[in-house]
Parts: sequence; structure tokens; C-alpha cells
Amino acid sequence: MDAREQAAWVSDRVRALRLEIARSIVGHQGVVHDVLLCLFCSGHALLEGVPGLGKTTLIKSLGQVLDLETSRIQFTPDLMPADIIGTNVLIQEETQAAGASADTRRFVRFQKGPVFANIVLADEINRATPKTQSALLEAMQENTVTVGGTTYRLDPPFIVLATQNPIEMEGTYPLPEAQLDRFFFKLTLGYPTAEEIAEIVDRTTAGTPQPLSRILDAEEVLRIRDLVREVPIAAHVKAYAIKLAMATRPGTPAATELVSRFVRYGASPRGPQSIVLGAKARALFEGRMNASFEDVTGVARQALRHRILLNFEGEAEGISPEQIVDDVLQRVEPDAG
Amino acid sequence: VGDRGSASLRTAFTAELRRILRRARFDLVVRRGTVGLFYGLLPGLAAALCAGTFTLPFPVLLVAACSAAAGLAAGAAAGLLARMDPQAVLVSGDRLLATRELSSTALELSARAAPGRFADAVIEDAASLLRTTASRRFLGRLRLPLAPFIPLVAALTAAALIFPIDLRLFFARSERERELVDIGESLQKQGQALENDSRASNLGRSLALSQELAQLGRELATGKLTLDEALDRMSELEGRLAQEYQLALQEWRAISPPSDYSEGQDSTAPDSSPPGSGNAQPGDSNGVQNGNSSQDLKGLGDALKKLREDRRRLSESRNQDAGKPGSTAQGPPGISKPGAGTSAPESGSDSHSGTGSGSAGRGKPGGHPGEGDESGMNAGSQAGTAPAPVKRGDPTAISRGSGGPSLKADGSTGEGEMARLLARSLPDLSGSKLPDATVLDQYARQAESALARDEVSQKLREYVKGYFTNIGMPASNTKN
Repeated sequence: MDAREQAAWVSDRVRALRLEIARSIVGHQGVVHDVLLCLFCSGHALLEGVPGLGKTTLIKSLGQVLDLETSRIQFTPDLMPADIIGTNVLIQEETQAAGASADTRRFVRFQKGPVFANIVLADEINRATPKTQSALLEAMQENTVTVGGTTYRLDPPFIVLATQNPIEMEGTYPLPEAQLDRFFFKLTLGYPTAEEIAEIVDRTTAGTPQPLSRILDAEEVLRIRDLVREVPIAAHVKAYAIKLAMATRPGTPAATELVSRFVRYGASPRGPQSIVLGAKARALFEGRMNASFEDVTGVARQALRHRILLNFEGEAEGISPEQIVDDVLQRVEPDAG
Repeated sequence: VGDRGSASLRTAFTAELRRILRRARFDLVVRRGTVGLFYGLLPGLAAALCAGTFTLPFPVLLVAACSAAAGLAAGAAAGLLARMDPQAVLVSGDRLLATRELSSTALELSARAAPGRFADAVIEDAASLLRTTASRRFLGRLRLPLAPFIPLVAALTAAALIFPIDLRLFFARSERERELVDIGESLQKQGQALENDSRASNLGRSLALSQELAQLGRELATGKLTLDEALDRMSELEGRLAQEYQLALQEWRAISPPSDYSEGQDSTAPDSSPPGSGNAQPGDSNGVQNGNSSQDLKGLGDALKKLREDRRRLSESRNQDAGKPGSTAQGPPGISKPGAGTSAPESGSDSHSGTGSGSAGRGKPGGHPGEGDESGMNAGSQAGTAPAPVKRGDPTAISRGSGGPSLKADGSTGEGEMARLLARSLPDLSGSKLPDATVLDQYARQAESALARDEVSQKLREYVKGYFTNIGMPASNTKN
């Protein structure tokens, strides 16, 4: 397959995935698209929305259409880190040879936690304590888990899809900034329209839900990941992505007025990384072989909004990070080249 | 094989890029030239706006054409010399064509050593894009810099509605129009100078006249007056200026002791060698001490002299245009030749300077009748008459020795010195057609009669006597 055919194949597979997922998820086309971007960019996604919008269903559907091992962790306040990554357990085995007395052998064995899967659904991640939330840090960044001095590698592809309820709801713990930064995209789910709700009601109250078909396997997912990284991006497009990220930092020349006033910390270097990689994947999804300004702006909101930390004034004024990013996108222009 | 394919793709892309850049350069020259042309029109518009108010050295159309040509040339030169960055051209083209950075990415990939898996496809697509797209589309639509024009055009339209535009201002002026403009400008300056002096010295009398003089100059300079109208206005104003001058002169004499203006120059009386133009300079070591009066007199004298000269110039110009060269008339009736008459502003500087010879009133040797001699004699004979009507007569009538208003020596006598002096400053030559020898006696008698009055001082009598003696009258006729 030459490059053109490969791009077309990726575009075709992504379209098939979206169609298949749409069989179980009504609406949220954009969110599905962005989740797939995360998947093929080796990134993790944080989905935020009030309960009942289909976050868990979406992720479960993704697990079904991909021939990948999935696991689900329901985060609760009493969840411990070992409940996620696993723990060493003492194993006692009795062996009895012929004509001999029974022999008892004890040893420690690592019991893998639910994080050892290809797709990990961290449901309501902000209901667990920060300590437990941080248990995912190493897995998300290094794709490894270290327990008792031993490091275990997670099988690729590995992706964490976390859901969280809005922070202001009762019984939630805000995610630490370090962990937030490790999410490739933060996606928000809005309420479905009346027509979509009617469709949801029809699908869930009549007949038997049909299982989803598997569209891609792990090898194909990894192959698409490689192709995404091969997509070229021009220097001036990359510069624009960096300029956008820089503009979210107060005190820099590129910072907008809103940023200077309401932002305490702007996007880390992971911000432009996410933008550029997301732009490449977005281009490939559309069958194009190079990333454009439009691709950059198309993913900048998802990549930057959870990396912006507001100051007190911003919190008091009710400014949202989305407003900041929108302002940056509106005011920062690409260079002429 | 793959490397050779990649190389040929890159070569094709580069060739297309060069072609696009060549055409883009041409487009750039045209565009910048067009923009320069528009900017060049701005001075023309501004000139059109100002033409009705200010005097322009060139016709509006010439200004507009020259500035537009200069703008066009400058714009084209800027387009030729502008640095054309291929990357910038392609980035701009991608944006305009909505090709999602295809060609600019291809340009970058074509220069990379290890461009990656998709490079060849991108370069090939970009080459195809360049081949099928017109170069001007990479530069975008031509946007003319209309912003500076909108207020100017609005102002021009408003001005045209309020003050109807004289279309003559747009075209080249004739020789006569240029002369009118020159004269108008100089008169305007003279009027303004006089106005400033009048204001500075708080001389209300001169102020109105100076403003009128400046206004006349302005109208002349802006082409609002025809030649005939100009001459009429100038004659009228000249008469009033002369009247004012004489009033000022009388005032000056009234407040200045005779010794102040006659000291050391007995034969050069103030009225024949007026302050500001002759030896008896008010304000100098021999002049009067009254600064305001002398200032007024000097300013009026200068203005009158200037106005008179300009009117003569115009009159000569008109005569030449009328195909009457060689006319002995030196100007319309009432205009004396500079330096020829005793008329106040002109007489002193040339003929009296430092001599005290009393030659004022003499014309040039061999001067034509009707020039200074007779006007000077008229001055003497017209004592007490009302100011002569200032009217331009037929210049040819002078040369024929007939026609024109009469200012001959048979004027009525004696209503005061002011009128006498006024007549001297308004030398209307239309009636000066007799040889001086035939009228001198009559003049002398009239002068004697006038001087016999009680209010005429002895010093003045002596002066008049000396005057007639100097111009050749028999001694018996001048005895008092």
C-alpha cells in the first residue's frame, strides 16, 4: 500500500468505527471523533459531564468495536491505589509427591490490577482521593506500573478514558494538575437534544441491543498510530500551535489580555505536543497527508482547556478555561510564513 | 527507483514553483503599481480641494497626472525590488485557495533529507496544484487602498456643493492668467503686510484698505477676476489708496514741524518727496518723530506704488494682447509713469534722491506728453478740486491726445491743500494733451492764487515758488 492508499485506509477505518459506535451512542459525534483521536495519538482522554450522558456507554462501545482488552474501574472515595494497579499477594501452594508428606510452598505473586488492560475506563475518577487518582500517573505517562520495586510494562495500545462529574458537585476531589496535564484531551459532553433523547429512549426500551462489530484489532491500532506520527506538518503550522500554547501563559508577549488577567498558569509543553499530534491525526482521519492550520485550531480547545489554571480573580469572575482558549484562538493569528 | 521517483517529483514541483514565482512577480509589479497610482492620485485630489482657496503653481490636472505617474512608477519599482519569499507566497496561496497548507508543506518537504512516508504524495499533489492554479490566485485579490480616498472624495464633493468649483483651475493657465496670478499674489502680500503694519500701529484707517488690497490680490491669484475686472478694481482701489495717502500725508505734515521734513533739503518738500519713498524719511534722523503717522504714510505709499506698477503691467499686457504694440500710452489714463511725475509715492526715490534739486515733476527726457510732467502740473492746477473720477479710458486716446476725462489746468481753484495733493496722486493723463509751455503760465497763476491765501505758510509759498522756478517758469511768473 502506498502512502495515498494508507491515508485512505485510515480514513475509511475511522469512518467505520464512528458508524459502529453510533449504533450504541446517540449524538456526541464530536466527542467520539476526539476519543478516537486520543486513541490513535497514544493519548488519554478525560470526559466530563453530568451523570447519565453516556460517558461510560461511549467508552464501553469503544472497547467493543476495537478488539482490545478493556477494564473498568469505578472510582470511589475508599478506593485504594492497589485496587487500581494491583498488589503482591502471598500464595501458598501444597504439593504432595507420591509416598511423601505434603509440602507447602509459599511465595509472593503480583496480582495485576485493572490497569493492566488496553482500554481502561476510569469511571468518575474525581470521586476517589487524590492519592488514588495519582496511582494512574505512572501508567498514563510511562505505560508502566511499579509495585514493590518491580516495574511491569503495560501492553500496547494502552489508553485511559476517564470520566468525571463537574467539580462543583458534592463528594468530588479535583484532579491534581500533574494528572490533568497527562490527559491528551479533555472532552465535555453536553445534554442531548430532544430528538436525540427520543432516539435514546427508543433504542433502550425496545428490542434487544445488538452487540457491536469489531472494526480494528490491536495491531491495526498500532499501525494507525505509526501512520499518524508520519504525517508531515509544516514549520509555520507547528509554530502556530506553539504560539497558541504560549499565548495561554501570562507574562509572555503573546499572552492575551484575558490570559494576563485571569490565568495563573498556562499550558505546559504537553499542550503543543497534544495540538500537533492531534492535528496530524485529524488530517489523516480526513484522508489528508499533511496537517493544516485548520487541524490545529480544530484540536486546540480540547488540548488546552484542562492545562490552564485560573487565578483567584478568574475563579471569582466565573471565567472558564474554555473562554480563555476561545479568546486565544480568536486573537492569535498564524504567521505569514 | 524510489529515490529517482522522489527526485523527479521534487524537480517537477520546483519547476512549477519557479513558474508561479515569475508570474507572481509580474502580478506584484502590477498590483503595487496600481496601489502606487492610487496613492499618487491623492495629491491631485488634495490640489483640487485647495485650488479654489490657494494659488497653485501648476494646474490641478498637471499635479494629479504627475503625482499619479510618480506613484505608479514608485509602486512598480517597489514590486520589482520586493523580496519574494517562496514560502510566504505559498503560505498566502494556501490560505487563499483553502488548500490546507498543502503547497507550503510540500516546499518544506522538498528541502528535507528524510521527508517521511507521505512526502512524495504531498509534493506530487502540490505540484499538481501549482500547475492548475493561476499565479494571481496565490496573491489574492487586489485590494485598493480606498481608505484615504473616502474622506478626500467626501470633502471634495462637499466643497463642490458648497463652493462651485471653477473648472478652469484644472487646466493650464494662459500667459495672461499667470501674470494675473503673479500680480495677485504680490498684491496679496503687499496688502497683508500693510494690514499687519496697520494692526501693529493701530491704524484703523489703513486697515480696511489693506484688507481690500489683500482681497483683490487673492481674487486675482485665484483667477476669479478677468483682466478688465481686475483693472477696474485696481483703479478704484488705487484712487482710494491715493486719497488715504494724501490724508495721511497731511496729517503727518500737520503734526510735524516744517523743519523736520525740510531740513537740509529745502527743495524737496514732503509732498513731492513723500515719507517712505524719498529723502525725508519719517522716523529716520531727518524725519518726523511721529511713528504711527509716518508708518501709515510709508505703508500706504508702498502699497500705492505697488498697485500702480501692477496696474500698468496689466494694462500693457492688455494692450499687447489687443494687437496695439508701440502705443505711446504708458498705461490707462490716470496712471503716471514711475518716476515721472510728482505723484507722491513714485516721485522721490529716483528723481530727488539726495539732490534737493527739485526736479520732481519732470518727466523723462523726451517723455511723451501726458506723462509725468503734465501730471505734475495738473497737481498744481487741480488744487481744491474733488478727487478725479478713477476711470480707465481708452489708452489709444492718450496717444491721440484726445478723449478721456479732462484734468486740464483749468480746474477750479482753492478748496484746500488736500484736494490739490489728491489730484497729484491721481494723475489722470487722459486730459494731458497740451505741451507744457502752453499751460505753465496758467498753472503759475493758479498756483499764485492758491498760495495767496492766508492759511498758506510762507515756507510753503517758497517751496512752490522754487518748484516752478526749477521747472523752467519765468521768474516774473513765480513772484509772489
